[in-house]
Amino acid sequence: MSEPRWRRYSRFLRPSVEGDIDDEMAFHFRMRVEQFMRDGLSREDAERRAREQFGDMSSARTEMVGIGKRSARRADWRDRWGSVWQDAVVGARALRREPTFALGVMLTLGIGLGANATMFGVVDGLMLRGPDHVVNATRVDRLYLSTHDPVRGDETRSSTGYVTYVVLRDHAKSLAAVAAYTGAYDSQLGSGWDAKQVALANATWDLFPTLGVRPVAGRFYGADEDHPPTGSAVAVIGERLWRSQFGGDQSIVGRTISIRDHQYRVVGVAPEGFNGADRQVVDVWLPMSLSHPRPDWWTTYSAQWLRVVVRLAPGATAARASAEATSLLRASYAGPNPVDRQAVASFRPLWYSNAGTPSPVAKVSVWLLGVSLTLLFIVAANVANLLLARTARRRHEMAVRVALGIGRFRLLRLLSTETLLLTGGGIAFGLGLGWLGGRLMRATLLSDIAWSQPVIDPRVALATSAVGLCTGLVLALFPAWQGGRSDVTSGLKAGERDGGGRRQLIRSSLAVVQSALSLVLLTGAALFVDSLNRVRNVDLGFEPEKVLRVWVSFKGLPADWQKANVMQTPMYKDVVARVAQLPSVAFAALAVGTPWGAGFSDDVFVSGFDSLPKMKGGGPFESAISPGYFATLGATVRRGRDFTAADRAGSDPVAIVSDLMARTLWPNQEVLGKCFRISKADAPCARIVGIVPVLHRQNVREDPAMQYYIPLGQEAGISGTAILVRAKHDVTETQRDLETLFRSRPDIVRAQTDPLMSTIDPEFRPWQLGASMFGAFGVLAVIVAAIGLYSLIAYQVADKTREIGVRIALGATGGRIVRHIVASGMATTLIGIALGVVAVMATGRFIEPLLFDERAVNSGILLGVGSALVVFAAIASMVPAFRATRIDPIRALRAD
Amino acid sequence: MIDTTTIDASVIEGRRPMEFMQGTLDVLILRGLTWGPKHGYAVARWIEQSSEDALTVLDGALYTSLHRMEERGWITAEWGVSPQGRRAKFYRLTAAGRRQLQAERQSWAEYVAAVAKVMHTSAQPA
Repeated sequence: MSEPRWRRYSRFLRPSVEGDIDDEMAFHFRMRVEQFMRDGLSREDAERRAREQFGDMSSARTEMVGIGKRSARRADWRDRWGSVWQDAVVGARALRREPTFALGVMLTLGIGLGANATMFGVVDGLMLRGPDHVVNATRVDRLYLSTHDPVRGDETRSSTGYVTYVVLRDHAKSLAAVAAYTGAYDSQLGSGWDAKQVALANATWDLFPTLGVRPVAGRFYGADEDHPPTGSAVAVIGERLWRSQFGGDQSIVGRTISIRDHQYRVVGVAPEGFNGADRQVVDVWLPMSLSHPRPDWWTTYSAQWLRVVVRLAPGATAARASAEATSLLRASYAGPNPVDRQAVASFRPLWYSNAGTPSPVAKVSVWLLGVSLTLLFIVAANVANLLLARTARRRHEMAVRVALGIGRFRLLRLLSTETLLLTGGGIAFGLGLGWLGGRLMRATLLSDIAWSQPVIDPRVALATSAVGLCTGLVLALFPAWQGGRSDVTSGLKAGERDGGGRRQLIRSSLAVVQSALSLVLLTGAALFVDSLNRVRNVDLGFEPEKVLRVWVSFKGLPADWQKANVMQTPMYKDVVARVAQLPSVAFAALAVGTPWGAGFSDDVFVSGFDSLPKMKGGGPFESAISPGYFATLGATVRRGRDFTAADRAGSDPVAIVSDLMARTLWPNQEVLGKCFRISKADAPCARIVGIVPVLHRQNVREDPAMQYYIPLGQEAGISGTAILVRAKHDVTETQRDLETLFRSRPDIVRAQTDPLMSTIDPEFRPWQLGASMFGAFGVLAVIVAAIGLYSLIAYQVADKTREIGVRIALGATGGRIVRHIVASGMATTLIGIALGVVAVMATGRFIEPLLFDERAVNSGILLGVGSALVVFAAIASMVPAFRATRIDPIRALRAD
Repeated sequence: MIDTTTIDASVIEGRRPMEFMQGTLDVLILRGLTWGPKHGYAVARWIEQSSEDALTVLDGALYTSLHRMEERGWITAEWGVSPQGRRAKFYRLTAAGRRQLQAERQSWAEYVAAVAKVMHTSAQPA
């Protein structure tokens, strides 16, 4: 039974569910009434019977209308999704006919989106997301103190003393909670050679409630276990340590663990990923009151070894809290330092560095996120070009479709669906590549950060998909808009290929923008590589590459460190003598106070000075060293002599000073033979016997400070002896030999040997990060741009086949044709380079703070990068150009 | 939404009241459509005539049942022209409807057999 024709139109007159039901019922009643009348009833009776026979008319109708509306709605949805699905199927079919094109577009988009996924993941993990297990992290800030010192200038730091914490905790109304903690430091769990290296941190009991973390087992320690002067010997261990060392056993709560030969009762387990307010891994939390720098730790203003983290009170702003904290701290300050008395307090996000600014790694990461967006733009430009070319290629097909009656809108939808399908593939590739990239970055460049989230978590996936979809929509509108414009008659006409000048112009401009952006990215990469080289070549005053630092624990030493010190000095001397005999060791020495280790300063008295001139880098700094220290570090004694075995405890006090100290205190004088007093004004005068260069203390970039060295044994009040070893050849080989030696000695409980470089290396991070990621993105950008230029030129050649054929037929030589085509590619690139240079000049100053003593606008780098781009452009346009010379004029003219 | 679990049968002009179990009316309608498309009135007449007027169904119940089965996809409806030349909505069994009918017939037969066994049992089991 076929549908009557009019039904087709009733749909346009709004299908009426009620109308249909009423029609159906009307028919039914007529049939019934007629039936009953045939049985002999009067019309009236028949109608009454029909009604009786029907039952409750209105409720039946209501139900049927309900059913009808429901079905209509469902059918509507089916229609809508059905056509979307149909478009998708048609689109997928069209793409399958051109697998290279489809795969190329998806991979290209995938590269752009993958770069973004990687960088967004890093930025999100570093900055946007608070540390793990911190509840409502946007309300949690760290305290920073800014001071102005006449000599050292303006400084901001997060380190402060316990007194600061107490004042804020007890009096600040705009703070809901206040806690103090120390940075994580290495320690040993257990003892002897089996001891496990763990990261320890001290925290006041209120750190846990301030951050809002919940224990996974047991409880956190409370106020009654953490208070001055000494708290209870309790510990909270991290879930990671709990699982790896104690098998995740619930009975750990109440058990005792041994850390550096002290016993602590475990009261609870902190969840995996909880590292307090910082991003360094913490394995064990101890009460703040258990380890402290000095006996009067809770009242002193002189020791600043902890950081303060706060939760803002409801309704309070960071600015208001900062103002309140500033006045509270100034009013209560009872310490000796006038600079600290005038300190300005401020509360800043947890991801800020200890100096109160976004860390260099964070800053570089934000830049890299921008770079990855730029890369995405370059990639999108390429894809847009490819899509445009394809639209042009399909002009004939489109014209046929339009001629056959496909609606313009429908055609647009079809084209957009194809693009969105490609985008979907691109997003999938992008997430995959982003995952790889993120894993790689975390493993290499950002390995010292405790990451809590998986590389691609839902947030990153969502952000990537959103960016991808936006890109896809723009891309979809672009050629669709172009395709929709195609004119039926000219499209159907044979021979006509491209829409001519305007579209060509769009494509050329995209290529120009691409080469401009490539120049910017490559310049950035070159600047960072250059900075990395500079920072690596900074003269530290010594050569750390082959130096190992060893910390040794001896057996059976008394608890009193002063007695222990006396006892272990001969032990150290014995060990270092044996170490020096190892065939793989060039030099070995002992030192209290080493570069990138401990720094000590003491009062120094020099005749002619009431007080020593202050230096920006602080100091003067003291180290107690054994003979051979400078040779071991790779520094030279410039004048005078090194210490000898005769310079020891009890012998005449002598010293070696840095040339800066010599220049500052005895300008234009013979320094050798001069003397100064250490610690006390009436101490015996230490005679200067040698002069050495300034050795960097703990930063590649640091302010100079005076330094002096005294023979080991003549020091007072400083301790912590390290063995320094200079490897003859390979550091790891020497490290192995040392381990073997230490394990064979019964007097050594344990020893830890680390290359000095492993402590210095993290300082190169920001530049390493910038150099490698800018480099990677820059290279990708150039490849993508080169492919873009290639396809542009190739397309132009294909478009001009007939013209070139005519030229060849008229006798043009191959050389002329190549020149003609390459010139057009060059023009595009040169305009792009010019634009890129302008962009570098405009944005350069923003990146300069991240570079190492370098101007962003560096003519040498710009020249190099520009020439590289020209070479790439030449190659990219040469290939299609040579292909053009092989055009057969007869076939070219006969085609179409 | 109204979901009728029992469908009223009623006494019309001295006929016996008949209570239908859930789905029974559906089965009757499906069965009525096995010989080809019918409009609602024809289905009603078919039930009346083939049961020799023993069964009679409220027309309202019949139509709601038809519409519900259409929604479920057991039958489809199309507008057509009745033999009298009037516009009428014709219902036709779908493949799903046929399967449904098959299943219902099977369970109906089992049900009848079970009831029959009980009714014919003469002795009380030990």
